[in-house]
Amino acid sequence: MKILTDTNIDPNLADNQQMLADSAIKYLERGYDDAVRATSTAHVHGCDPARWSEFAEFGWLALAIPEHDGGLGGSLVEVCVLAEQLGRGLVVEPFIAAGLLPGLLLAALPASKVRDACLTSITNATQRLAFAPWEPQARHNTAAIITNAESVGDGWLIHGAKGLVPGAAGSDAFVICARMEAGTMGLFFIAAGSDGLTVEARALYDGRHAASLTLAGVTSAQLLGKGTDAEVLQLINDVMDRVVIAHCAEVTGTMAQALDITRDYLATRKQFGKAITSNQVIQHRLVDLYVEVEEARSLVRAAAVSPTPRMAAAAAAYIAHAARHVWEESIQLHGAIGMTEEYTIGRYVRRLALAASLFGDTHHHLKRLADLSLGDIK
Amino acid sequence: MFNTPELEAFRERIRTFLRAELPKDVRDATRCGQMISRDRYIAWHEKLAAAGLLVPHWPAEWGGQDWTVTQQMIYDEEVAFADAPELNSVTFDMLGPVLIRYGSPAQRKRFLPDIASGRQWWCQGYSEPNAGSDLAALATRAELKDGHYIVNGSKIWTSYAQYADWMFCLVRSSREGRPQEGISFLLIDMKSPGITVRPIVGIHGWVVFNEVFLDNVTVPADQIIGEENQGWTVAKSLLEFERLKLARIGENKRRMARAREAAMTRTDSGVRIADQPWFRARFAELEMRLIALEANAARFIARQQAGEKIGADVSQLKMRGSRLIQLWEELTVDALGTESMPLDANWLYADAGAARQDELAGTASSRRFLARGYTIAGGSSEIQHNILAKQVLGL
Repeated sequence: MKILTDTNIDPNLADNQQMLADSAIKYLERGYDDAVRATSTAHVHGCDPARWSEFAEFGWLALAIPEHDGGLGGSLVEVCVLAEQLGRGLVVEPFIAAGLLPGLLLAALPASKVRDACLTSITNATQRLAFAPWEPQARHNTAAIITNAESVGDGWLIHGAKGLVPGAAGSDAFVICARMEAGTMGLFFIAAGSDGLTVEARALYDGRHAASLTLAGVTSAQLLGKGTDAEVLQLINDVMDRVVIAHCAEVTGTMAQALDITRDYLATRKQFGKAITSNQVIQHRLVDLYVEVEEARSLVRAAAVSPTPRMAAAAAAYIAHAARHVWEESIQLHGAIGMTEEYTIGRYVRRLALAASLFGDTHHHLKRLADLSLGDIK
Repeated sequence: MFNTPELEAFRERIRTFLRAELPKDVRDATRCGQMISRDRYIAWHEKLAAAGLLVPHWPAEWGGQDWTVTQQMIYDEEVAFADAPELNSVTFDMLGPVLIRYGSPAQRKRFLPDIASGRQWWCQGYSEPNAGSDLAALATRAELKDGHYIVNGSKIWTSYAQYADWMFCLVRSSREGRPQEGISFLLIDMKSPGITVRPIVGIHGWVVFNEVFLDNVTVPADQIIGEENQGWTVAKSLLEFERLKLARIGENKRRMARAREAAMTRTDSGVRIADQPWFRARFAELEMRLIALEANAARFIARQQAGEKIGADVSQLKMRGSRLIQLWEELTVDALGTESMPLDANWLYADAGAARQDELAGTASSRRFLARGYTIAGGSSEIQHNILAKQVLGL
């Protein structure tokens, strides 16, 4: 039984958004199954290039890039509509991390040869890029940058490290932030295989791949843009707020599907001679999950319309909290079968468990919200 | 969400009115969380009525302004921000709209002008000692005799019966068929002989609830709404009128402001409560939930404005909004610490002549206890869960 919370019964979606959702649903229903997921999971880069090219053909990789940069100029609301369906379909390929984030960041930078070429290569899938916003010493704090770029001749000498970056395994190139002369920061383009760059790729528990970077004297970086610390961080945070909202949309789709699977399983399975769902304690717990998914969807939509730091923090904190509630209950309500590798729900459980903190966990975002609302601690 | 230029201008107009017209004593009492006398309420109603702001959500034909739900929500928010008292929703949001939809022309003409003028107060006679969540089990009898219903029985948890001129009442007019089928919806004058109101003092110290005894009360037969034995349908539809408001966004924002104020003005070991990690974590979590609730309510409103009929899924707004009110009250009490503990029973009432108490601490504990009613009244949270499980999730 399909859930009642599907976007296809929501009259608030404009026609083009509905078409976007429908195209994703059709694609996913046409055979995006465990075997397809496994090809990307098993791929050394965590992303089957054939799949990625399909994403480009559908225009998904160009969706958020402005038209004057060769993209489709889609709004964040449209991105979220698509992301929710990809989350529902438990898409393994890194749409948010590699299909959305680098393009948004580059589009926000001043035009240059390397930037423009990157944007083109994103839309036609000739290159997959990753942006590494965090460093290992500071979890999800984008302001904690130690990585340093020293001006040497007409280039730069970069030392530093970047923490686990979702979707970065097998990237053709990376964008990183580094400190420059006092009070300034720069964003740099570094091609994979550059001297001094080590990419340590890791497969994650949810079947996706990530990578951390070590920059030990990288000299071939190209400067994409620079500014005062405040300017650069503002630009990064603005992009990351929009990305985290899209991530929330994806997680909302995954939560909705996990809830559907759980409810359907409980409605079929009998214990003590009756369907498990006939027990009131079970009904009420399913209702609590349903309401959280509904609130999550509403919150993501509101945040996509107005992606302020406050809305992004609220959405991210809410979704992280709800995702944990959904995956924990998915296991408990299924019973032991929910803990098996073989049964479907386990894949949703692992995805939700990781997704809840991939872009900062509840505490991280609640702290942001508290600082915005109560002011910094005196 | 509510930020078109038209709506902003609308908000500004409401704000300006409230700033200029809300009497200082009423504002102060509301700010302090005190209960306000009926006379003060009526005076405020009349002022609102004169400005067209008492029943603006009613159709223009009956003194309203045909406001949209969005306008109503903005209004409710501004009422909260201005420390104006909440209006009696039983009168203005429930009975009024029911009369407009189900009342006979004579009934409308008789009651609606009095309600719209602000002078008439209504209470709701639903619950009985043995019929709470299971409302259809109600036993108060009504027998038709010579053009009058003779009503016997008792109602309980009747809010503000002590202020009320009239009560709309569910009574059992038949024992045939299913329990829901023998119920009628009667309008009863509280001055009728045979009515006794017994106040029930709550753990919060206020008299909000009452027990209402009906002993051979004579009710003219033309004071029935709808057909005899069809009262259940009327009662159910009545819930529709206020469901979107039950998210209680404005009331939650008022409480958020109080919790913030308490934390900004109190310290522990020289550190503001607002700077204590425990407070910041809890405040942010509740704010997050309020943002989510508001976004969810906005989606329902958008659906309604797109012409969709809102179904049982709207129960979630009531469920979440009522719980959130309680969480804000608890946070405020915690921010105040032992300051919230001393009780001055006179201070709970605006006109009881108590010495001035702190505007936050003086009634914080009463409000925390009062807030427990939100998840019980109007269909408890457990009933809302049942509704969502059956009607939405199909379990």
